[in-house]
Amino acid sequence: MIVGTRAGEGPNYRHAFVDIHYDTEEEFCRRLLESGDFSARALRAAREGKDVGADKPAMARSLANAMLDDRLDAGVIVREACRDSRGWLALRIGPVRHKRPKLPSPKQFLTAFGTDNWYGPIDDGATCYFIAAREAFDFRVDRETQKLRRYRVRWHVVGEVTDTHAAFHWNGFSLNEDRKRPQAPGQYPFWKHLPQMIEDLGAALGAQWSEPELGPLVLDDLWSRYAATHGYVWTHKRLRAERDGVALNAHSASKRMAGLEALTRSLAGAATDALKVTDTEQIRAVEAALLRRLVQDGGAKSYEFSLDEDNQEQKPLFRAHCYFGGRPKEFGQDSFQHLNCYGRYGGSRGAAEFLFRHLEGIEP
Amino acid sequence: MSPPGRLDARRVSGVTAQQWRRIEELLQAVDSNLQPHQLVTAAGVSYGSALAILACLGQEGLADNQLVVYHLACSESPVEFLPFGAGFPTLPWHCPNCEELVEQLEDLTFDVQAHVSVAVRIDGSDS
Repeated sequence: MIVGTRAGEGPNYRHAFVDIHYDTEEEFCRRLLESGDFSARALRAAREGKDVGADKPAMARSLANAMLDDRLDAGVIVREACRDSRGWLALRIGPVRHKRPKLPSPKQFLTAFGTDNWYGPIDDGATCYFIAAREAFDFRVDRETQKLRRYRVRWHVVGEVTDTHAAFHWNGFSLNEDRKRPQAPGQYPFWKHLPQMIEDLGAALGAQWSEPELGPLVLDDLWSRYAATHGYVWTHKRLRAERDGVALNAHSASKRMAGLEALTRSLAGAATDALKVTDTEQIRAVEAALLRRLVQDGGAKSYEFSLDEDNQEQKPLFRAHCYFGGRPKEFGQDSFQHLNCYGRYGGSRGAAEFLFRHLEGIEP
Repeated sequence: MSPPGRLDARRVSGVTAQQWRRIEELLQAVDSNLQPHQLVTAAGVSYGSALAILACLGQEGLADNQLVVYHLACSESPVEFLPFGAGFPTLPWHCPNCEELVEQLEDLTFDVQAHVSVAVRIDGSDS
């Protein structure tokens, strides 16, 4: 199925919506609801208790008609989409002065391509949702005509705002912004746009937001609490660091003792052999010190780990690749604090809930 | 052993007492190199604050600051360290890593590194 386009009229974007000049509001809404940012769960939940059809196209048609006939509030559809987890996450802490700024409505979001803007608010208990649309252009060679074609796409970000904090959730997608190199699509550079988008929503809300101290939280607080604690399994997945002019990019395989731990074990073995140390506890202490030094004091730019309960259930608690955002904007993704999350660990919502629970004084 | 250097916390605004404590820990290693991202990750300060702190260390004579040059087309690691304040490389410039001729400043990326020669204590961080 081609999502968001008529068959044969454009490329398939999993998480962006392509503009092919829809003739009516109904057609625009229906195609939008079929696209990747609206899950089947969200569509079903928006019409709770009512028959909406078995597949996404049928559900999208039913919801679009109900919304345009004023039998369904557009805010309900958008609220359900906002409740879904996504792949990427950015956090802010701090209060907002008012949660009901004057912004374009959820109905406008669902019925027209519109302009780059935040839409909302959409109430969900103590949470207020906002959803942003942002235009991007993708240059691709049309398979049939073999001619370069410019596609106008719309990318979405969900803003989840409470009295004490905010979380921003989005999915990434690939595109090619350079018309001279249409064969090399790359990651959509969300880090160029999100800082301003978050600032814009913050200004509309009178927010006093700041970034959480993600590095100290992950590498100090969470590490001390869980890494060597009975009942938990902490697995180092990836470290990108730079210190003393040396850039390190260490990626562990999925096995528990791999990558970084194997490297520090090998270094500790060499050091303790040279010193003729045979005491296992001392060797383990050297290993732990080396690992801590490498990850915590090694100039980490980003770090990925997973945390699971160490019992029969092995309940997944948290996994994310944390980008600490300590570099100038010319360094792209490393200039913006954010996290890449995993579906098995609850995606962006699971990660946000876990981190807010561990940030002092913040209740998720 | 050199006596510790001292930096007045009031010179940089927007840094909390707890963040200064973490920064002071980082500044106990003598003869160490520090880049802004190390302060951001370890202490939780913003990039701007980290840059300001390194600049103050340089001004106080507690660190030698260098301009770190990256040629991301050839390496993720820095390709050159230049004295801070001496300006950007003069173009065209030969990348010492890949030996390619760089003709536009946009092909290079820059950051700062401070070589901290003495342990540094932070004064006035609780006020």
